[in-house]
Amino acid sequence: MTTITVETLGDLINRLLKVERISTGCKSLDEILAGGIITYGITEFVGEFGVGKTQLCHQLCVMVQLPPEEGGLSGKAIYIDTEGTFRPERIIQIAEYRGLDPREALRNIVYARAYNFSVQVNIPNMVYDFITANRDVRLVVVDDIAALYRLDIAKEPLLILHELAGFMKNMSRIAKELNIAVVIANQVTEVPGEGTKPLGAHYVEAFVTDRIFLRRVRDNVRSATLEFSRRGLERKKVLFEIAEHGIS
Amino acid sequence: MSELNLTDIKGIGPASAEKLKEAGFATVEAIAVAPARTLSEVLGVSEERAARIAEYARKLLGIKFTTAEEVYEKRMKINFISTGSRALDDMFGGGIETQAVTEFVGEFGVGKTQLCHQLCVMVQLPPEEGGLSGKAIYIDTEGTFRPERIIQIAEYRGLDPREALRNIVYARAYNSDHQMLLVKEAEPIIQSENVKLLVVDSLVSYFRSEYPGRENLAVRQQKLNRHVHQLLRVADIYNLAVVVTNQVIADPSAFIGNPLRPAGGNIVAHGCTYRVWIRKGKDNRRIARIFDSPKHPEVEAVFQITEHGIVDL
Repeated sequence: MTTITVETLGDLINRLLKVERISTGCKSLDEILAGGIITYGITEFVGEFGVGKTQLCHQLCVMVQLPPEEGGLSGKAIYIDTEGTFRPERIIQIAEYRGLDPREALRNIVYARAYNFSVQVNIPNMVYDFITANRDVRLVVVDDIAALYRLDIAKEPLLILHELAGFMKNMSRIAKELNIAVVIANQVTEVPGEGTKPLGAHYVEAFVTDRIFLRRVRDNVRSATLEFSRRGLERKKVLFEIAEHGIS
Repeated sequence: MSELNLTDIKGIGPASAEKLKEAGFATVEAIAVAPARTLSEVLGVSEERAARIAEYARKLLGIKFTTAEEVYEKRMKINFISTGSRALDDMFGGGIETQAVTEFVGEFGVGKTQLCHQLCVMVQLPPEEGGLSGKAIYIDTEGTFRPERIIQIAEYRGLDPREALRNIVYARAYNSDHQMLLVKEAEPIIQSENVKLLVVDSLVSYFRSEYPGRENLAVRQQKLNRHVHQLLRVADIYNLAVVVTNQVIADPSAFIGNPLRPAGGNIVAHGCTYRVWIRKGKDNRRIARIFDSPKHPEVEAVFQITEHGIVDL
């Protein structure tokens, strides 16, 4: 982990050319993301409770399994659950709608539950080892990065914040070294004078490639705003809908 | 950061723990993610044995990769205990779930303890009558358990009252440490006695009285967190329903809206799977509202508390 790798600019360009996309399954979302979420980077979904972050995480775990011509990468997914909100029943609904065998779809998702923040902090190492042994994994979802952090923050704020940064750094390493799409869900917090802000401030932000803000519009309608993008995409806002068969 | 000691890991005695600490592996977390080769060098054991030690540490922490299919199959085993009120059952989508912690919050005298008594009887009914033909464990922190109530409810539900009493394992907790110990001691009983319901009435009262004031808040919440996770784990591995009651406290910082909120803060909020607020209506009516759940919409149900227990209007 402490070695410095040297590569030529040519190697770097070749590596960047390998960046692939996973469709979100929703045209308007794909549009603001120029085709979908990318491997070799971290995509962050931020928003309040019930805004659809977990739904998007479920959906992407199915989408990654589709063949490339249907927007996927014919790959498997890892789902890191910190709040116990993973619902295999949802996967079945979404998989059926996308024409996949639901059982097969469930088998292609590797699941791990983190019960406290110190476990969460150690998870990137385990995920890294797991993927090196199972190269068909193309997506890692963490839903979410903030819940366990919030439980521990009162104790030693600075230490915990640094651990969160370490967690993000290691997730980013997974994305870049193994060419994996990493998706994280994040909560918001009220910052006096600045309004609602994603948790973890620049400790998280520094590692995020694309940040998407989700907001409730009405009933099942949500808005998504591409807040910033390190791959030079335009800041745009679109609407989408959460239905029984997923997001569209 | 965890409360586990290195010696909690199978195969690690005090001497090995010392060696590990010297090598910089001070926590169970560190062992869980350490490469087997490093561990084997430090401990002077074979690599296979070192791998087993790391594996056991991961188990202790509860990190394990499974497939979503296994998660699904486990969720298919979830059972429901009827509350005795159809309206309340409908709100829950079938009744109180196993593999989950359900919290009833409300002011004094609103019927939380009544619900606990009721469920201790309902769980004993056969599945076709809404139960799980199982036993119950009742951890009582306030001395409010009344066997007479069990007899009344059991008679109304057509159970032999004496038999019903025998199927409830009762324990009075005398302080928060004792309360946590009781959950630990309940495990062998759960395994051998087909226990399908664990009641803790009430969850936070001892924690609040033993650790008063802001200066003790961090310690209290940490301990409470351990307790809540202890309950979640039991619910999860033994496929049983955990039901806890919680008090409400007045939040002095709330200027608008409802100044009352459940005790226990974020720890209880995140730990409990389903949270239900109960308030009084007219006469003996009670209104329950499920206010936090990963799968239910925020809906309300109205029920009644009578001599026979919890019934529909």
